[in-house]
Amino acid sequence: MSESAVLIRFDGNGRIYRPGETLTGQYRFPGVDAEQLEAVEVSVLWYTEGKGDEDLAVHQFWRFSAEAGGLLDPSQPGRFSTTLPNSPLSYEGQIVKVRWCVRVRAFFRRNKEVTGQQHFRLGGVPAAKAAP
Amino acid sequence: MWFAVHGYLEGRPDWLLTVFVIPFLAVGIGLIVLFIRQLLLTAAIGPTRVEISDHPLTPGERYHLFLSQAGRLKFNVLEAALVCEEQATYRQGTNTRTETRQVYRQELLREEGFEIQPTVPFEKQCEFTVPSGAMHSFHAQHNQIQWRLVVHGRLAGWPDYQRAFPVIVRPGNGKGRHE
Repeated sequence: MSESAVLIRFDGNGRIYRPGETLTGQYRFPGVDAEQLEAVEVSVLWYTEGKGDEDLAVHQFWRFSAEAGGLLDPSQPGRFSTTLPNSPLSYEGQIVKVRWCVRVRAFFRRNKEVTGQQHFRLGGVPAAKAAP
Repeated sequence: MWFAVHGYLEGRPDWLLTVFVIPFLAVGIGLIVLFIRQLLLTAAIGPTRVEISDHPLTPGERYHLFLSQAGRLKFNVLEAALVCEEQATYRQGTNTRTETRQVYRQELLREEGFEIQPTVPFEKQCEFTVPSGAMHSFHAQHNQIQWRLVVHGRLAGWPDYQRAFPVIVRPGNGKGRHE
């Protein structure tokens, strides 16, 4: 199963959000049988890229599992909704970059799992240039 | 070194030992000179005082800055700037390295060719605006974005000095661009 086995879409096809705004969307697992799916984890998180080691923080996290009695029907899209925080804003720096994404992990029988993620921008901070 | 000097005093100089000792002597004297110079510089440059009209700073907002520099010095240039630096820490083998990159610099004030006396500190005021699209201060374990007010002095006959005052820039409303 590949990364593309998880489809994530934001409502309104929005990719740039303002702090305090509500991010909503859905995820799907096309071609997956309900019997195979054991659990789904959805995270709204930021992480850093660039020269430094990665920093990461999860803003919101949900876990739905068949074991816990959650209804897992891969034929139906799952929905997520979260109010975005004031910071950190998305940032495209020279050696530090801050990225936001929704990450969905699906756990299947026989210890198989797939992960998909969809990026979005929080805030409109322009890319940094090296100072003269 | 004692043996080398003793050899000269007794009229039996050891040239091999002398050649060996000279680099260490030069480095030692150099360090002492640097130390004394730094000590004099620190004593000569009095306290640098920076005051801003509000804190934390907000992108797009305008602020007053007051700079006071005491001491007994002759300046070629004294300047104050608002700078933003990215700092990334990473592991390379068993070492931990930190790299810093300046991504924004706004000169706030600059004064050339003047002298300050111990009794009358240099004082100057100005206004500045934090760019409306500025990235806010950010502090994670390995990655940071730091804003600082930096005072840089170029002195006549002395090495340059720099003093930095960290400031916090809070997140803006998420829109706008660097000016």
